[in-house]
Amino acid sequence: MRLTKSEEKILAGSMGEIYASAYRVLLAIGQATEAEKLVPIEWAHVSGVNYNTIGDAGVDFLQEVSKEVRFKVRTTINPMGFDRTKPVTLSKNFLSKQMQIVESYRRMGAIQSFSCTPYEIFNLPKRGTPVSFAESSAAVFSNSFLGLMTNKESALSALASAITGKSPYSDLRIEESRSPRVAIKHGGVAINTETDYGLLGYIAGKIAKDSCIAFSDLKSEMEMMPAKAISSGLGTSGSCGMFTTGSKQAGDSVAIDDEEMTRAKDELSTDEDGDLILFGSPQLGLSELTYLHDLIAGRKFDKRCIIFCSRYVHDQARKIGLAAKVESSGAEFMCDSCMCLSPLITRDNTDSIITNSVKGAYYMKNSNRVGVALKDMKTIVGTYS
Amino acid sequence: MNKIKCICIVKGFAKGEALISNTPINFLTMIDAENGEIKDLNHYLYGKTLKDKIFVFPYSVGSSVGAYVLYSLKKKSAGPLAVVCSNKMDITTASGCAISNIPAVYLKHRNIIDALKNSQALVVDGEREQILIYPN
Repeated sequence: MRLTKSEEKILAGSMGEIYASAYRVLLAIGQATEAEKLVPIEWAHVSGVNYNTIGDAGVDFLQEVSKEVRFKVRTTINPMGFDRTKPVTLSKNFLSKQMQIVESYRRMGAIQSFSCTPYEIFNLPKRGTPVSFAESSAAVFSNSFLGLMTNKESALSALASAITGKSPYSDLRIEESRSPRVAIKHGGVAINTETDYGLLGYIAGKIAKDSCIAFSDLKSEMEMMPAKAISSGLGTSGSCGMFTTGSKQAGDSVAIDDEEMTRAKDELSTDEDGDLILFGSPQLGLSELTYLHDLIAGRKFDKRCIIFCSRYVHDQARKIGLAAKVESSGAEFMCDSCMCLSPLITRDNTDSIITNSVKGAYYMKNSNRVGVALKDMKTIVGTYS
Repeated sequence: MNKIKCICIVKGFAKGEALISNTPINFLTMIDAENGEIKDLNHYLYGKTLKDKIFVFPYSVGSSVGAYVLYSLKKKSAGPLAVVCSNKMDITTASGCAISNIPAVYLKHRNIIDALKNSQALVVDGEREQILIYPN
């Protein structure tokens, strides 16, 4: 990858060690993706906000970086560990470490979004705009449905892009790379619920070797809820950052059958039942909240039910009366945070959870180490209300 | 001794034993950021550690936060001496190694490393873009 003279100087340390490190990261990911140069980006979305995900090394690292750095482009950040407006039962250590992280991002100029669905909240740049999104589900969604151009960035590469305002011109930031060479055909497998879409994405992520894959048996138009579910499933299991739908694509194809769907579900769904219902991963938007409200139809949940939401979506739902209606089912909102690696749910306080999210199931099982009953939202509401 | 070509992403030189995963790695869920142990119960290397090994795996998948796991391992002196991606160098691995100064290389043709065995002695030479494989 060729750097300009001024980029070379910063890499050599003209602006200090932190800016040099940022360029070292860009150089490494640029070479890994065979970029020829860096290009300006308009938006960075950074992950690594929840203390449970980055630990003490991350806390100290961000504190050091924030002493010198101000973000160069619009920068939004992923969920943190808890809801800022609710009384929390977490340890003093978690609270203070979490708030140090929040303070570091604030100092660098991040928008306090605490969301894994920034595309549902902020004004969108026009199609074809280069951005740098770390949250895997948001990267896949934004490439596949919004025409934004990002590679599947890491927490540190998106941070480097937020600091410098640049990303490598490579892979999914080049139009020609955004055509899939391999198509997933699910043929006769019934894909109906959001959980089916999540599982399809999860299976495809394991198959995909390239950065872009086709679902040639899916209709081109997709509603928000399945679109978010398939994006997050794909982001969870693979390194693939984009997909297309519709039958136009040529090239090789890989068939998926019912047996594979069952195997994926059995891998993630360890339990028949659970103590606690969790909706999130990704955080719910107005479309999912509306669907949930319609399903509940005045009934009450007979188990505790937590809805992870961005504060923006929650406030909007509050304004139009939707939040209160959903709450009358006994469900509670948890803003600023999300299901994955949530410190609120541990083996000490929960045996198993019930969720419709494939991504949520994966992280609850593998990181939080609790049992998981994976069921779609309609079945959950039907069974537990 | 066999010599194979590689492409260097983060420069450096390392000599040590290979730890080989034939399946992709999600650093956030599979690796213990405190001590470098493989904590995924379903992984056949469960309980083995990356610490002071040359970690060979196809590429990383899943969480974007995996880059911080590599950084945490380095800070706790529990990280690998070098990483070798046998299929492609993904962004999470590249960025995590770049910030942590862990030498990182990848291979364009995975079959040349299929014959490699766990605990085999390797030299990763980033400058010369080559890996030396010593007989067991």
